[in-house]
Amino acid sequence: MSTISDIPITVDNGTSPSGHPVLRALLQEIETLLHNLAETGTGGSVDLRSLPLFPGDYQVLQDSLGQGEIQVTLNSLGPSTIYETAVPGVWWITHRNEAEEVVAEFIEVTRCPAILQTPAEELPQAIAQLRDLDQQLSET
Amino acid sequence: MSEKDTLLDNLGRHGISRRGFLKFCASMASMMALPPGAATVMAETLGKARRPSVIYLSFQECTGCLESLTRSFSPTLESLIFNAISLDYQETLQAAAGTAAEAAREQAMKDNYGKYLLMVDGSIPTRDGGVYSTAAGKTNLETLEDAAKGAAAIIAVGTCAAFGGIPYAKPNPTGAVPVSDLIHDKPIINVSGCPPIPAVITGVLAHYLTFGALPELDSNRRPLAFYGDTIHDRCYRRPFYDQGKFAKTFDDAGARQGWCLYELGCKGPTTHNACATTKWNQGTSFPIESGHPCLGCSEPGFWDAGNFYSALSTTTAPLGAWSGAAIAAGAAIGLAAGAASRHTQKEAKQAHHVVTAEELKNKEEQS
Amino acid sequence: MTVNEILTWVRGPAMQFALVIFFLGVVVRILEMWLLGRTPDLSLARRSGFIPGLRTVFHRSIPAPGLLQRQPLVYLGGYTFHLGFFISLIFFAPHIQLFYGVWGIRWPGLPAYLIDFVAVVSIAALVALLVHRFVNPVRRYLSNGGDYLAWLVTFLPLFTGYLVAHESVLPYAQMLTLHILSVELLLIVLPFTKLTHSFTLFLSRWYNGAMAGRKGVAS
Repeated sequence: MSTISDIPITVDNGTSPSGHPVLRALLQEIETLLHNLAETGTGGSVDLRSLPLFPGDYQVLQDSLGQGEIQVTLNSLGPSTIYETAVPGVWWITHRNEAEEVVAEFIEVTRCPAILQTPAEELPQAIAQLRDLDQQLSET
Repeated sequence: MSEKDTLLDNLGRHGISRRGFLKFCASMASMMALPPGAATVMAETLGKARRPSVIYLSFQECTGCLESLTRSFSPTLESLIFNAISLDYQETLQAAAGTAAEAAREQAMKDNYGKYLLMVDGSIPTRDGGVYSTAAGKTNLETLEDAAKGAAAIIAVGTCAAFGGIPYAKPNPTGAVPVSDLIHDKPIINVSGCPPIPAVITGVLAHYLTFGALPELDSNRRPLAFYGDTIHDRCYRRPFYDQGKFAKTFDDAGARQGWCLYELGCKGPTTHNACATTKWNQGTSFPIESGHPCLGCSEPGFWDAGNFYSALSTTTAPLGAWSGAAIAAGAAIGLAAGAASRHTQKEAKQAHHVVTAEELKNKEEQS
Repeated sequence: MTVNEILTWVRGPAMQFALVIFFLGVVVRILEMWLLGRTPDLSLARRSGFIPGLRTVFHRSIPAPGLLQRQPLVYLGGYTFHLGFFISLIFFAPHIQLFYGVWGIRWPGLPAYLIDFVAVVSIAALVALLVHRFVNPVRRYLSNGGDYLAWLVTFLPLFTGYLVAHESVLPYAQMLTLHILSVELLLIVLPFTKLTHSFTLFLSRWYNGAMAGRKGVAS
């Protein structure tokens, strides 16, 4: 099935008028969240899809925050990319569905995004799995 | 799928992990404009939610709303929430037909009396006893009144069900009315739009499943999370409006530079919907981003609100002929009034008695 | 009826109604005055009255000697709000759209911030004039209900228009509804109040000047 990227059109990714007022407000918000993270240990997140950003603003924001050392791909209900930006503690999370269309996009200010941590509910199952493995090995 | 299954059990059966579910909740919370932290709360409650029975009735409608709801390129998060409900009756989607379909509806209504969600798509004709739209020998009017009795809540999907839509537009030959004109004793939630954004429908369902109640509504009974702001409030072209930079035609320099579409008839300032943030076609864009003014399709009476391509500051009715007629009538009345005052002047002149010195002298002598 | 449905009504049938009253009223009032007629002047005209009439139209539009010093607020305030009213009416882009929709002709508008400035200055001038009318004992004595009504229906379109543009106090749809209603109110009362001067002002000035010119006295 053809997707939007198969249509040979070029999109003029205009950016907002001079001064990037929305982007600068966003950077200030991230700074506040970083302060909170440093002082209380809890950061927070910003939903990028709820902001009135110009199509080109995304690129400017991504370019200015840069890319850090970690990049993770989560494969569940489609690929999600999670990476730390060049600014430590600022993570960029993009959730995509199976057609690789963006369904949610966040900036999360945290030391490690919650979605990367193993859910506690899955630990009993993990123990059982390991016992099964041990069983299998002992039988061979 | 048994009714005791939770949503998480159900998703697990589809091979979806807890991480995947958390991702699902994050995107749901994002759509509903809930604070980002709400995703975790949602994941906890929604995971335990049971599958509710949903009856979907189609009346005077074009099936565009259902198309909007079901047309996805691949299994999406929206379709997952539909797996989480038990859609017991939908004329277009169900395999059953005729009496079997009607029997399924009757059965679902009986089994879940007082608990099922009723989704209504389309307006209901009331003229001549409602004969203009019938199914299985029953008028839409009867079907709705019957199905509403046992419903926990009613979701009016699309502008037709919510506000009457195109059947309700002048001259409204079938006497069509929205659901809220007929049902007064049940909670009604209007998910308007022509069609509504699919994510909004799933968002409302997710909210109902998560919190067990309908979300907060505006004065038109639309969920505030999606209809709280106008398109204009959240439009990325808003800075151009503030600067007074307007596209004058669809292909001028302003249009190419993405200037504001107000003068091309954009109804964004008076339209409440989530298009500017939720966007369409899996987040590709929304009408204004594609260079077309907002038509205002999620607002009551939008079909009768004048030309789609005339600015909001223009009139919705022709003025030229009326003004001409008024000037002609004014001229006629003015001429008549002028003639009348001329007549009064003339009479006064005729009645005027010229007093001569002789007369005065006579008068003096008499007294 | 929802807000948007009221807005549709205000933009349509209500506007038709207001315009019909406006045109009807203006034509009736002018014809009525004109058809009253004048006693024929049998004396030989010293010269044509046409040019002296125009001269008076001009002369009386500038302050008489000394008046500007004695009544600066009335003169400057009056000119400011009259000019401001017409500039914002004629050169604001959404208004041009309205005229374009009715007559099919359009012209370049002024930038929004300029219109904004003009509107603020006009509103300030109108408020200053109202205060002056209250404070000055002579003006207060001379004022009656008609003066205050004329002030109000002139002030409201400017004020509500400013609020629509800034989307303050009420959301856009509500404020736009009030703005258009205020304009319709102005259209309806104009022919029947002192606001008729918008049509009779230059006619009467010309008539006075033309009479003087005919008699050969200074116009």
